[in-house]
Amino acid sequence: MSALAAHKRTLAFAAAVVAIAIYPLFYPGSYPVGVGIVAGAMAAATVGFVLLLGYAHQLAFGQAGFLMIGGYVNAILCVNYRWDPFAALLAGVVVAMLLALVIARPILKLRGFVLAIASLAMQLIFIVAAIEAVPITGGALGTQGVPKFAIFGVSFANEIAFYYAAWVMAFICVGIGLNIDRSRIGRALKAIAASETAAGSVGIEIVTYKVQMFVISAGMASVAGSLGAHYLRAMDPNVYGFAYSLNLLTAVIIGGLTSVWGGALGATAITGLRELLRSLSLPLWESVIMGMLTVVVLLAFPGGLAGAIGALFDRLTRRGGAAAPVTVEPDPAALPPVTGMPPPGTIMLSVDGATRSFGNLRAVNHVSFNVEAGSIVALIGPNGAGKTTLFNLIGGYQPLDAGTVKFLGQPIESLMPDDIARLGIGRTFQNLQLFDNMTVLENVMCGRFRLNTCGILSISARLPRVAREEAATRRAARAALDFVGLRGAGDMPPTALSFGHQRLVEIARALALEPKLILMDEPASGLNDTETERLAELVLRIAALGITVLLVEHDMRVVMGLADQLVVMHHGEKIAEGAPDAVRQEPEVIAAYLGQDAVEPTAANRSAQEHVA
Amino acid sequence: MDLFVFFQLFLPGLTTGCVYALVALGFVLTANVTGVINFAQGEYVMIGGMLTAWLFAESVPLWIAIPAATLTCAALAAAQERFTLAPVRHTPHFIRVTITLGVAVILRGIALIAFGKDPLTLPGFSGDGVFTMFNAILPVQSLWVWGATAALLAATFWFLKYTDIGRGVRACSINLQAARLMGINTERLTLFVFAAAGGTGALAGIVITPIVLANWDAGISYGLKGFIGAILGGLRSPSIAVLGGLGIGVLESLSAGYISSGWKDAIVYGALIAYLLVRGGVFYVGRATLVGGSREL
Repeated sequence: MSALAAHKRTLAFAAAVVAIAIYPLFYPGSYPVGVGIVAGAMAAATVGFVLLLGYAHQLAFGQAGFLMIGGYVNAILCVNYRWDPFAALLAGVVVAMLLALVIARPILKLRGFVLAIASLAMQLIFIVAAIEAVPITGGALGTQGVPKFAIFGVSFANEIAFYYAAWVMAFICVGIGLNIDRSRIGRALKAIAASETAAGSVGIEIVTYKVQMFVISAGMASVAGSLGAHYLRAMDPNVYGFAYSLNLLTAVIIGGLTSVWGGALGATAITGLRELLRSLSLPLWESVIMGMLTVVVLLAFPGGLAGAIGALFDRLTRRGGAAAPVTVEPDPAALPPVTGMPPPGTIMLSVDGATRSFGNLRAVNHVSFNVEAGSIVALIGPNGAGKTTLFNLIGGYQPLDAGTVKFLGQPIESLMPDDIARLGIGRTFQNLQLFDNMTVLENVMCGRFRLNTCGILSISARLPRVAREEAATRRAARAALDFVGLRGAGDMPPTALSFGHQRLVEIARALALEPKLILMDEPASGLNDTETERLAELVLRIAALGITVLLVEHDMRVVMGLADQLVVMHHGEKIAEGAPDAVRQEPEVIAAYLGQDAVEPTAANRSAQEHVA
Repeated sequence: MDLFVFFQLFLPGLTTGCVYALVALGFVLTANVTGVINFAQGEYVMIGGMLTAWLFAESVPLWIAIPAATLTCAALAAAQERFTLAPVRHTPHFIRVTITLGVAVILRGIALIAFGKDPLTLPGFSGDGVFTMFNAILPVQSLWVWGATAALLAATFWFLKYTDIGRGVRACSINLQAARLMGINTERLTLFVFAAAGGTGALAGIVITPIVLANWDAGISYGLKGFIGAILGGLRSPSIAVLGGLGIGVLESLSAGYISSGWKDAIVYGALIAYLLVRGGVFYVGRATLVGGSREL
């Protein structure tokens, strides 16, 4: 499967290069070549936009603002300071990326359409600034007399040469985009889009990756803006207004939001369409038709052109034969015992006086307990006892009102979920939080985040060590899948698996962290009796690796044979703690589970105790 | 400070602020029942003004042109909900927002084709005279704008408070899921709210046209500035949204007069971004939002 996918990538790249290379042979005139240059510039600008919008679902609509920055920096340096056009282009990229870096962190804290509006507002501010800063930009008239494109003195005065130069830059952007797509950063972006909660749980630094994509897309947009300035031989504030932002958006939607190629395809399609409308003397219809295409594609073909071509390719190349069946037999030897664990008996996790209120409700009231290294501790209590809230406090999902949480002596109560995950604490969720937009294997690979070291620069360039790290990550993820008993399910989407198997995927993902401590929130909920039994075995095998387990459960029967230690909660307070056999005799625990009457020394009590057991 | 200059800026600012206030109100209502901000909201303001002016130029009397344009926008907004949002209620949020942007582009395009590039104008409803207030000279039409806005706001707040549909809208804004479970027909409610928002927007566009002219590309600016008003109310409170809209109008006018008319948009948008950043993002309150199941507005 992955070999085929790699093939597909190469074929797509080759086909695109050939199509772009031979176009001027068929249409050598200066006008059609000019159209090709415009399309190439737009293609470069779409790559980062696809990653930001299509992958990470960040509605940063004001991308044309960065085309404008690139165009102006380039035009001003060339016209007023006689810079070499290529050096000016690079300077434009640097300026745009620096500006994006300054803006990104605050603006990307905004979510959904608030981000969309704020980024549009940002673009409109750029436009006003360009119109008003007359001495620098030439105001509404713009900067005129931009020279033809040149790279360190080598002129691209010939339009066909400039066309090739523009598309080479577009392909470099596409190449960087593809490298990011198939790296851990591509997975991080998809994870952020699918569930920020789960992304945090595996240690993905959500804001960092959003910022990186924002900065990269600004750089690519700036390249496009520079190319545009050299093509038009001028730069003025009207070129990259709201309309251009919309065209860019339409391009990536028509081309396909879920593929790096989509943007380039869409840019070409849009540019061609605009020329067609112009030749039919229908330029006024441009806006209506672009809008219609946007709406119709989003409603009916969310994959766009790239999605359609990819599906066609898959259908043509698919060979017969069913997928390998999922092996449900777990392989205990698949994962090595975790090394570097603190000796048994060390306090792994220490919760002291944890308190959290919602309004007048004290969901967790002054709860303290310790988890020793190498043990299995179960946090139990009836529904509504505050177990999941306490779990969220430990995992950094909610702030504590009072109290401390220490992991191996280090206070973690003020850390965010991703920081906590990177310390080596894995977690699973009661209501499954899988990344539905990735395969099972990729889901588990996301768990390796804290162990990966390749950064954005080496990933963009696809250095050899990136490929090595990817291979190692893939191996480790497969081992985790084998360990939980999901060999053969790696290439499926998680939604194709049963609920019980999906839960195993979550556990495998948490194990891929190589955690010291794993937090499991009601791992047995929604499972049938056989699955519950298998789950209990799995928990024991996880503990056998040396991993400390803290689980939440409301069904006492599940934890009886499993846990070394129980912590019982009721109405937000800890009411008992100790070995399972001792705890289940305590009257308060019986009362919590069965009501106060059950504590009276009667026959009912004895039968109740048996029931609890 | 010269009070005359102040009022000469403040009062016209209040007038445009009325339009933003009505747009902001539309944003709040539609966002609360659908969870989606409607980028096309500002376009209904534009179409309302353009269509009325165009009908008037075709010698249709105002008392027919105004209801016709209002109802057209209400119908367009209802159609937008029915055909582009209702079918995709379960697709990712960013897709639905992008669809509303696509609809905005279509509406702009249609206006450009139907009414042309040149701005259209309307005479004042009771003549093109002026009056003075606190020594500021204002077009008589301002009174129409203020009156219409006050009437529409009063009607909306009465409606929200005292009618079943209004209570339904408020229920949806508190908890959409629970409202559905309580048997509120959210499908019909959504359609109704969209139509109402479209119609209100159109009326705002109509009453302001004698003062500012109607332009095919004005929708984005109305939409953005109305949105800023809405966001000041956290997209929850209709009354703060209205005050926000009025405030934006005043801020815009004052910065045009005292600082620079060229920079006025940049100042308003800059104020928005600054506000969002100071608040740390209205919908990004610490880490509470990281917990699964929180509704992403």
